[in-house]
Order: sequence, then C-alpha cells, then structure tokens
Amino acid sequence: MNAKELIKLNNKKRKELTKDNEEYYDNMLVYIRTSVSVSEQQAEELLMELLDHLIDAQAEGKRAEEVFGENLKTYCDEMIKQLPKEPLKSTAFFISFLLLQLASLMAIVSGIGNIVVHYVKDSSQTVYIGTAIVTFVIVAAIISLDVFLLLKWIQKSVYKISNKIKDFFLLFVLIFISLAGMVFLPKLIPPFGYVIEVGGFLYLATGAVTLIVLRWLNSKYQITK
Amino acid sequence: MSLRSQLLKGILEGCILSIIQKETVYGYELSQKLQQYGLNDVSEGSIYPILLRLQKEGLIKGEMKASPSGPKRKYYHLTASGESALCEIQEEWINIQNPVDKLLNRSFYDER
Repeated sequence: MNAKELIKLNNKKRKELTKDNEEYYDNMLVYIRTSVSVSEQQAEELLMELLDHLIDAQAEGKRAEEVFGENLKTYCDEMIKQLPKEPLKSTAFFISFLLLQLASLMAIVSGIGNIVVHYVKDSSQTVYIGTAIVTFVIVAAIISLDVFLLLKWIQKSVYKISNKIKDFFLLFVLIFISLAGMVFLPKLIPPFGYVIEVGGFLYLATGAVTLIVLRWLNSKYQITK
Repeated sequence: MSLRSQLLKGILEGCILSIIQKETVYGYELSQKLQQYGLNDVSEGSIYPILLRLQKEGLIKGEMKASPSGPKRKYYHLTASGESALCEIQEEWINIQNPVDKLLNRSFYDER
C-alpha cells in the first residue's frame, strides 16, 4: 500500500475509536505528519500500526494514555528520531515543483497588473530579468518561512494549550510583516540584468501555460497529494 | 535518558528479538506476548520506538500481510544480522546473569 492509500484507510478506521481515544490519536497523527523531514511512506505505515494497536487495546477497555503513555511529545519525538528520513532528492523535487507553481501564479498576477496599469496610464512594460529573479527569490523565501513557522505552530498546539488571543495576534503580525515584505522589499532592488520589453499579455500567457502544464503533470504523476 | 532505563531498553530489545525469532508477529501480538511472559511493567506503546530502531539497524524487517482476523498488519521477522545479534545478546546475558543475580540479591542469600 502506498502512502495515499494508507491515509484513506486511516481516515476510515479512525472512526472506530472512542471520542477520547480519537482525540489522543489525532494529536499524535498531526504531530507526526507535520514533521516534514521524515519519509511519508514510513510515517503512514507507523501511524497505521499505532491505530491498529489502539483499536485492539480499546476492545479490551484500555485508554490511549495507558497504551502510549501520558507524555505524547516525548513518545512521538522518540519515534520520529528513529523513522527514516525522506530522500533529499524527492524533497527537492517536491519543493521546486511548488516554487514553479508559485512563479507562474506571480507571472499571472503581475501580467494582469501590467495590463490594467497599461490601460489606465501609458507606462513602460520593461522587465529587468535580474530584478525579476531577485523579487521571486524574496517572495519564495518569505512564503517558505511562513509555511515552516505555521507547521511548527501546529505541532506545538498538539501538546501545549494555546492562548487564542495571543495566537491570533501573532498570526496577524506574521501575515502583515510577510505581505509588507513581499510588496516593499522588491522596490528596494535597483533595476539590473537583461532587459526585455514584455507586454502584460506575454506575462499572463507564460504564467498560464506553465500553470496548465504543471497541473497536467500533477494529475498524471501525483506529485502533490 | 537515565542509565536504568537504558539498561532496561537493552534487555527489552533482546526479549523482542527472541520473540520475533520464534514466530513472525505484529505489534499488538508482540505486546501481548511480552505481558504473557510477565513483563507487565513495560507499557505497550514502548515497543514501537524499539521496533523502529531495530528496523533501522537492519535486525528485523516488517512486511504488510493479511492477518487471520482480516485486515493487513505489519508482521516482523528477523534478518540474518538480527539472528547473530540475538546470539550475541544471549551469550552476554548468560555471562552476567549469575554474578548479577548473586550481587543484587546478596541480602537475600545472606539471610539464609
């Protein structure tokens, strides 16, 4: 069984758990799944084993705490440490696929922006390749950092009771800083690199074609699940 | 980790290898077997980190197989290096079993 099938089966089987046991198991599941460095296949096989065990133990009237212990974090950390890591090649491939998708979305957005601006006022359509690449790197870096922080935050929420107001405030600050960074940092970059005169339509078309090709590749090879 | 729990872990590893050598088992079965032998203090869940480590070291291998009760389970069996590791543990155990027993139960022997 591959990871995808295991996840499906896991969703089905989890319904057999009692409410308390499901709550405990769900926390374990979130904690292990958000550990991005481990092999997905191995992690799902382990989660299925733990679920099977808990269902069997539950039939004998045992609680999840009795089976896996009171300290969920220590227990899961111990298992994550032993799990094989995801091969670097497949992680790199996965990340570059996502980044490419992000790049084409950015191209579409700025293409539409350019067209609108062009109709409102007659502005130049000059693109500096160097500037465009640096802008992309900045946006990609900010988004990657946000994803990393959110995953850590979800992991922490599993074993720590969080303060909702504080969390909301932090999330707001994070989004604000990220957006501000994405908008204003690129403006600081001086124009450099090869110059091309592109119309907004070319931008839009390139972005759309790339995105369609990526979607097609994804539906065929299921890169993101 | 304290020295005491490390010691226990090492011994538990040997016990798990020994059970798996006799027959292929899945996780829940393994925990039941350990309890049947009287190791009631071992919490059921603690076998999974050990099973993962033994797999990482290549001493055991897990395979998904249909179980008699129906659903597929991950059954574990010993590898060749698992066999030799178990032999080593058994030898070491025989060497220390008697002296440790005498030392730790000294007061018990002295009273008699």
